[in-house]
Amino acid sequence: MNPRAVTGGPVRAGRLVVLVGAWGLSAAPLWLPDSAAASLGDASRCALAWIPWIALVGLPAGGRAARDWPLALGLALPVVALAAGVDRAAGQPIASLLATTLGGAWAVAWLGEARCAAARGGARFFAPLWLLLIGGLPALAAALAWGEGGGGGGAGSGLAETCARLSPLATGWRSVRPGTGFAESGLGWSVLLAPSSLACLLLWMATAIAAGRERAEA
Amino acid sequence: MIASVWMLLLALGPQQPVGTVELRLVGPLDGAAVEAGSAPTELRLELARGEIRQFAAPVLLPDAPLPLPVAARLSGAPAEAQVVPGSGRHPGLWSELSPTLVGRGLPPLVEGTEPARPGALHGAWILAALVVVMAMRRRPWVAGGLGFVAAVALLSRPPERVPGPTVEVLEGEGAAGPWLRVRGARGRLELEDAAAGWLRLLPGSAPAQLALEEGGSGGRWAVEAPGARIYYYEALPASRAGSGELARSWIRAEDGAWSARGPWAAGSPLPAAIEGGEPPPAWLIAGLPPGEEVLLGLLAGPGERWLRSVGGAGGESPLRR
Repeated sequence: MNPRAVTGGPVRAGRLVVLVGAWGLSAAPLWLPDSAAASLGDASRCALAWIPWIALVGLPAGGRAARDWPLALGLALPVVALAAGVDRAAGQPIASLLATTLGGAWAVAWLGEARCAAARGGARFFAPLWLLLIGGLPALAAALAWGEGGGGGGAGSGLAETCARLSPLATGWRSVRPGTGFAESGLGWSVLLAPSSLACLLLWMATAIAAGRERAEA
Repeated sequence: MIASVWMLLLALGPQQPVGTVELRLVGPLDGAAVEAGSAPTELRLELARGEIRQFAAPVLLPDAPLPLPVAARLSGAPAEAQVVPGSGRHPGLWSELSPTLVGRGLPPLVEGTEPARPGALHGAWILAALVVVMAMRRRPWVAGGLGFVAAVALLSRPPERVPGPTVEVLEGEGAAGPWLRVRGARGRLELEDAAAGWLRLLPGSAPAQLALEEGGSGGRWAVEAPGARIYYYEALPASRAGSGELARSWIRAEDGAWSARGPWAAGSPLPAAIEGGEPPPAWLIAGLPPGEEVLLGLLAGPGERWLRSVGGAGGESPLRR
């Protein structure tokens, strides 16, 4: 089948490939071979299912792709629900799973909405802020932790901890270990006040304000 | 050594009696709970209108001795549910059990290594959701809504729980003496039936509950205590101690000398001692009374089932008949 005929062009076909690829990455931990699945131990499949979507949904883009975060969320939710069921079957507490599910959905929604706002204007603000939040802070946290040599306790480890808490991607990654990351905030709903959740909200606000100003100037 | 002393100390910790009551339920029913003591027993059952089910349900009792029969009441909104009068059973007093039988080391329990897996139906469902959501890609909000509906449907049929490996120890005092069956697992222990017994959780403060789930004939009972080590003690008549082949066996003579005997088929004479044979696990010899013959063994067959009999080791164990 010619993808142009279905999607209207190679760009849209590429977008579909990216979405289906993220879906595949998200679902893959649920269908690993026995030996590989055992090596994951009690890692939260729910958190693993969110990671590709958190990384992807804010990726700066224009046109229709910028507005399709509900589509990404629609693709993510069934896999996340199944992963949460697997985690529950493995004995993980419901509060922890609720926090991870809500934290991931919140991050995807606001990162996606921020990208949508950026597409309307204010993209100059959005791209570097998104890069900082998704790529920069986790990299900085990893570098600081590596610099500490795993010993912890120094000034670097405190800063690394702060960076990791601010980034939704790093928080999602930390959530792979049950009871940490999104689940650190305690009860399920309070995850919406977690640093990474607030950072996503602030990113959207900054982008939306910038977009509004640009439109007013234009 | 330290591990065996630790397991012995654990064996001396507190335990909680589990009694039983006979329940009669008439549908429609969508879940209920039996309250008799320290924690409710959850009945995760769905009964159609007019469907009747009667069964014995285990109930977690307070530590203090209770008058018989066990009092219980049902909560929830069943169409008709009652505890059959006079059906309560108490396991008796822990202190009445032989101290040499209950003071032995407990088996260490490992975390389950078998991860829970989604079934083929789950796979088909999320693939269908992928196709439907992608088909609606030009309407992202509709696609998102459909994904949400698919997620809710998946949550209503989650993957089956995978119980951790269960370790069983048959504790006895010779052919004629009392026997106990001790079963242990981490996080969730499936009970073979609703027999009265004693529950021990490590740590003792771990919240636990008994639950009945659909599955098998008449449902499946389980003790659930996420993250905790669960041990369930059940008095066993010597006639029910079973018979079978030992995959590995050890004998302790009255003078305290251990000897490995290897496999021991039922009905066959005591095998000769194996020179330089592997010693028994430390937890299995912890807490055994001195000066008596002891037979230890790993039962052949699926699962991890151990035998520990004090007295009458030389062919007098019920397993050796």
